Amino acid sequence: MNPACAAFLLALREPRAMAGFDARTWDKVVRQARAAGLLGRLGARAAGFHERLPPAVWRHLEAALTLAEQQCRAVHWELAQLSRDLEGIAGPVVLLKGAAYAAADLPPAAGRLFTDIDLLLPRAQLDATEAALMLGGWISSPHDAYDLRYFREWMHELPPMQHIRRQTWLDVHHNLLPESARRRTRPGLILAASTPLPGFPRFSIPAPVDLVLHSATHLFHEGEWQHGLRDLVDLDALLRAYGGEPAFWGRLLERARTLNLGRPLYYALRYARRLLHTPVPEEAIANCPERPSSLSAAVMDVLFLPAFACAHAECRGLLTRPAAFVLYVRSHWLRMPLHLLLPHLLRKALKPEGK
Amino acid sequence: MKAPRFWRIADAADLAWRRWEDEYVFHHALANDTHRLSEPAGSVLTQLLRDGEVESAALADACGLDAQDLEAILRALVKIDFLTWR
Amino acid sequence: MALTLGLLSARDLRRRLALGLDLRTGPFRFLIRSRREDVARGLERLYPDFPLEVDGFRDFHVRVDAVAGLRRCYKPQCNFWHDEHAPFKPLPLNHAFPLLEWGMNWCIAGYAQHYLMLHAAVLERRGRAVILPGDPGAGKSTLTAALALSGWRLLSDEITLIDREDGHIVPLARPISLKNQSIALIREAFPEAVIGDTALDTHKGSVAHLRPPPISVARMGEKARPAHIVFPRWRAEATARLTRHSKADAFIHAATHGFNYSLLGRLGFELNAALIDACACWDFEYSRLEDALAAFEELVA
Repeated sequence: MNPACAAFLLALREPRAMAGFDARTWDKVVRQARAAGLLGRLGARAAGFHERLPPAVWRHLEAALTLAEQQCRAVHWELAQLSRDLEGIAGPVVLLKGAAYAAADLPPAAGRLFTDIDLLLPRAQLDATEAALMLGGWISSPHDAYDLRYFREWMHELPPMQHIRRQTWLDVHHNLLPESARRRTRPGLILAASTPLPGFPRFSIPAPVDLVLHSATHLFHEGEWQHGLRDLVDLDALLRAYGGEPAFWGRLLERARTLNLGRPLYYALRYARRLLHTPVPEEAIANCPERPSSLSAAVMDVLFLPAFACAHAECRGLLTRPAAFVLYVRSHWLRMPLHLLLPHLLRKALKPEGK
Repeated sequence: MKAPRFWRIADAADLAWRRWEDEYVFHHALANDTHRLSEPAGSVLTQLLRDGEVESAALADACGLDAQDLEAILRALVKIDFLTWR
Repeated sequence: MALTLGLLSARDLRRRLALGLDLRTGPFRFLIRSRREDVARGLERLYPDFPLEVDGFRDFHVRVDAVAGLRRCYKPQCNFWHDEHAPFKPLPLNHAFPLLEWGMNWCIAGYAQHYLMLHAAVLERRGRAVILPGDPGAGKSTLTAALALSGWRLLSDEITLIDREDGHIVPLARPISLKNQSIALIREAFPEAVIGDTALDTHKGSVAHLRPPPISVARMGEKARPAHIVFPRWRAEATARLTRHSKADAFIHAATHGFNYSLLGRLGFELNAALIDACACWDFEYSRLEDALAAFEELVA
């Protein structure tokens, strides 16, 4: 890892270390954290001892924390509104990622920024849900015919919807992985294991093991590498929260096997431990289903490690841009077969303004 | 449909307010909405903030409003998620 | 004594600007990089009194430069970068200096959520700050420039910063942006005023910036207590007249024309309410600058 990134990672691992950073270090760390979407996270972690940070630095952290707290507030309100819109939909409506963390006040929520609300529901409820949402003022962003077909036939979600008045974005998923993906999982089991949220009875959140597996799958199957480190920080917070209970790790590996998500879990554990020093028991890594060969793990290290740092120039090595590109292609490779992938990438490349 | 009888501030509405001359400004924290309200609407809200749940006729008396005006104000306040009733 | 920008030789300024000129404005430090001569000239004329700093933590790393690419041969353009990110569309090359000013405003408005930020000018006299929220075309900048050139302390021309700790106003003391007719008007009324190059045909029309009074810059570390909110309106032939403006309306105006009222949630409400509590609110109609200056003098008498 590039040494310029070391202080930033140290701040994520051991927040107390921030009290010892000099102004020059902060000059880099604040920019890296902002680019990675983690400035609010640092703010939340430093709030207890902020008088030991330079005031000019704390201003930025507190500003980002303010923004994160407002977003959390907005998610709570949005869920209250959505509860009304989705009253008539049968079966569980499961919150994923940021919305789940915020609504259940889970450890990754502190200082976390998010851009949309992600829902998971049974595929059979998709049409009824879309109709109910449209009645509630949610509209699909304009897409051309190709994009619509891309979402309908090959993806695991509806096209993103936005509320006409409140401007919030909503992603409605019926699976964790695209329909066209090489890897198949079983979203029905995740829905079945979810539990209703006390504050928002219309919504459920996934079981702890499923929260971890979804976060890992998202990280290693989506092409959003500017958020790679942020997703890893989510994982780290979840694993630290649940991992203290010894039975957790066995259940996690078992669940990964059942859901066919061993490989993404393996990488998640490997890199969380490597970059954030997440306390992952050695046996969990050793017994992870679908553990790759040491050669392919080494190849992935070359790709993943620089990519986690790619949000800011100060952290970028020579390899980062090619690695990010390879990972972008890889994320698509995992999402669709080659006869779909090549025309898709070509089309994205030729389109004047990429989505 | 018969008019609902008992009114109170919505559970989710954490309200803050100021009064300047004969106008009010209210802030709904969870929705993060700010509303500029007239004297009668402001007095209905401050009454309910003070007394908890109030029956329609008592509310009309306390605020010096006739039933019809009160009804219009209450409906508007329900619409912006400030009030609820049973 | 602290090093100010005006103490640099012309050559030294340009050399530093190419590498990163570390400039303080109010509570913020900007590391400004540019290879454009018009940017160097603008800073030289308008920022001579601003302190330069060395090393340490900078709030914003910004750059204004020509855009590379084929286009530069037939229609050269410039752009603004905050860190690695270019938030605007490129502009004609000769708008580089106003682009820097807009870019600096964009950084503050977008990231300084530590403050409540109103879209308003603000000046202080006798310890009392007067906030001018004027809508576009209300003559706010002209009035701000005239007041600043008549002994008022300029706190800010575009962004009024309210401290979340005490509700006081935090100065920026940056140059005042003059548009169209007000450029000639200020030149004529205040021949001693230092005004930078005029950029023609920007999206705001012609734009030129006025150098802030040295005393305003020297005192930019001193906060000010808010006392009045004045909504100015220039109307031909009008006699200068202050009339009461509804406080509830002033609240809503400040909230809806602010940069981050909503973003601060309840804190925004409380800060804005404390501001309105502390201020007398006025409508002000005028046609002649001298009358306006006299009326403002009375406000803080």
